[in-house]
Amino acid sequence: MSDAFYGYLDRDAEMAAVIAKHNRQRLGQTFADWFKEMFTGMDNWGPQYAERRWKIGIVHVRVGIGPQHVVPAMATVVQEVSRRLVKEGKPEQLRTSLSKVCMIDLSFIEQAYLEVAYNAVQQETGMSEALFKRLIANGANSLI
Amino acid sequence: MAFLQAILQNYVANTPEVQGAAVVTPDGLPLASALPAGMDEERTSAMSAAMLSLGERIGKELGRGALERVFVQGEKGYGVLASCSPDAVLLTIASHEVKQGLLFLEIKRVAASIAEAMK
Ligand code: HEM
Repeated sequence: MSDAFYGYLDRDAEMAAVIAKHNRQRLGQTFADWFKEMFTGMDNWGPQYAERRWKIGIVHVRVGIGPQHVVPAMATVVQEVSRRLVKEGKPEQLRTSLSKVCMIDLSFIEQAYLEVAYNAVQQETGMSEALFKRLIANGANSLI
Repeated sequence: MAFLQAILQNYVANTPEVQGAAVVTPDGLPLASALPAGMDEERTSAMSAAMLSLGERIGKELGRGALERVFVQGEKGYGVLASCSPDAVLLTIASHEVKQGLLFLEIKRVAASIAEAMK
């Protein structure tokens, strides 16, 4: 799974360049841990699980990988999982469930992107959350 | 917030070259305003709070001590932001003919009376 994932990232020049700066073996391990936790983590879904996803989001923001790269990367995971399950003759239901877990994870990671960006701006400008949201709402209104 | 409205109207009416004023919360919510027609109160309020917040933040970062005011100087005049209390920010807009020293004194006086009135 990890090989399929990094194989996919390697095919994109921009992402391959980011990967090249990191220890491939460690990356493979963190990915494998994450993948495993998708199956075990939901038994006690809670703050800790959310926290881990949130941290994954932060790590990617720090490295400078945009959220737009995470969506197709997750699609690769879903595709690869499906391919394996079909090959092994597993029921359709299992595929659907796994896809759902991946999407939930994706939404956590995407949420972390937004929050990290918000928090960073709030910290640098000293703005309260309410003020920040007001500016976004006003700005959005004027964009239409 | 009728008392705030009264303070602002008095301020704008009796201070030459002051063209408008508003009191907003640090979260950018307008509490009272006497702004020139056509100025968007909601946006102006949020931007004022943002500007003051950023002013405080950069003042600290640059080691300038407690913030007294944020002063915006444009071709057509000034915009000044000053904190009245932890719950209120005063925005003043004035034409470029205004005497800056007098304006700052007046802002201090009005900010103090707003703080007092909001107690
Ligand atoms: C489904 C999408 C993705 C998942 C689930 C995922 C998962 C992870 C996890 C679990 C970590 C370790 C986080 C930690 O240290 O706590 C990580 C780190 C990392 N990921 Fe991803 N990742 C995804 C997408 C991507 C993409 C698109 C790239 C593009 C190059 C990428 C590059 C990296 C890099 C460079 C690190 C190491 C950061 C560091 O240790 O400083 N990831 N990823």
